[in-house]
Amino acid sequence: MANRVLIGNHPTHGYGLYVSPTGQNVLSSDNDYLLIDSDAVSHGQLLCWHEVYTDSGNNGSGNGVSFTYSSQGVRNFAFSFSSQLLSSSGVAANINCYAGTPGTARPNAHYGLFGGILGGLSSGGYDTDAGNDIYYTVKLTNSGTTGTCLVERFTPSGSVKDYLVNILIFSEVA
Amino acid sequence: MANRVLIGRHPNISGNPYGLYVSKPSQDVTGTTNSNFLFRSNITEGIGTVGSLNGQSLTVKYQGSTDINLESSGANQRQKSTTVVTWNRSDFNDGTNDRCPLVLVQTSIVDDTTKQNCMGYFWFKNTSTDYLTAQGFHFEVFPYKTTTLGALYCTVNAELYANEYGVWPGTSTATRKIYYAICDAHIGSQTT
Repeated sequence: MANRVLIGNHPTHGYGLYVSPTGQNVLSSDNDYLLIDSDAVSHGQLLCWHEVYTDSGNNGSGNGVSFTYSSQGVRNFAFSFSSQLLSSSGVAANINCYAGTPGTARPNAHYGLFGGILGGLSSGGYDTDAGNDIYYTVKLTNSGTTGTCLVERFTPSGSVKDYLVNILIFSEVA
Repeated sequence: MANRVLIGRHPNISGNPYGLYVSKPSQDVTGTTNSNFLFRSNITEGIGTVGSLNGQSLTVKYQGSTDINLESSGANQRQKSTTVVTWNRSDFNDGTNDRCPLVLVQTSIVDDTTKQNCMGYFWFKNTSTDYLTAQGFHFEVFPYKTTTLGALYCTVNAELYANEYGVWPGTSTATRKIYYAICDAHIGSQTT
């Protein structure tokens, strides 16, 4: 059975805490696959995953939605997913993913990577406002231990559709 | 040489919290400077506007892949969708509510299942059914799809583009792979 956990002086990487995956020897000089590696620059830890509602009132610069969080006093980074309406009559409550009551289906609740149709040649009605022509920005600022995340949505066609942005924020990584 | 690992009660952080602490190389783990920690288990939310994930690392609950083949003609020539995987909603339950897991997806590239594509999707249409380009992939996570199951759907594009006359090249029907990792992290809060 492989050695899996080392607390102390690693023969290659020095003092620290090291944990290897199943079947791998933690004493190996190859640190590419360690689950925990004290020799790394940092170890990404999730601070929060927050779901943000936006609607037509948030269109354009200066009308975004912001929230604050504990930045732990270090640099953070974020990535995002999005949820857009699946039907013209939908509203944000149909698609939010925050939590579900056990035993109750909510088939329209969803999130995914954003993407869409590149405009310019559409003439068949498929460029109607389905929320899929929206683009948005995510900005992080940090003051002391308080981080602020600002989501601004921009839409060239003046979308009136609700739209959700999911923001995951990690502590410093590099 | 610096102390690098502390398991137990931290002597200097306010409140002396118990936990696991690992400092960055050359930094003393008994210090209190946040940026000097590589890992620490006392992260909480002190501002109060979001639900904290408390410094959780990404733990993968399920991982795997499924195959998909685009078709040489018809509706599935330029993009094709499939149900990648389903899971029991009860796998992600906080004791009261079912929760939405973090799902990561990549696909293999055309004609080479050893190389992966992480490009988000886009396409450029000439008409409602005629794509001039079809690049990348798109996935949607449905955490509460049925009363008992969550589901992952993915649309794979042909990664091709038409020539200057709008003529679509032959679509490769070779097997593509969709890789997924379903992680324990979940949405902690929302702003309505």
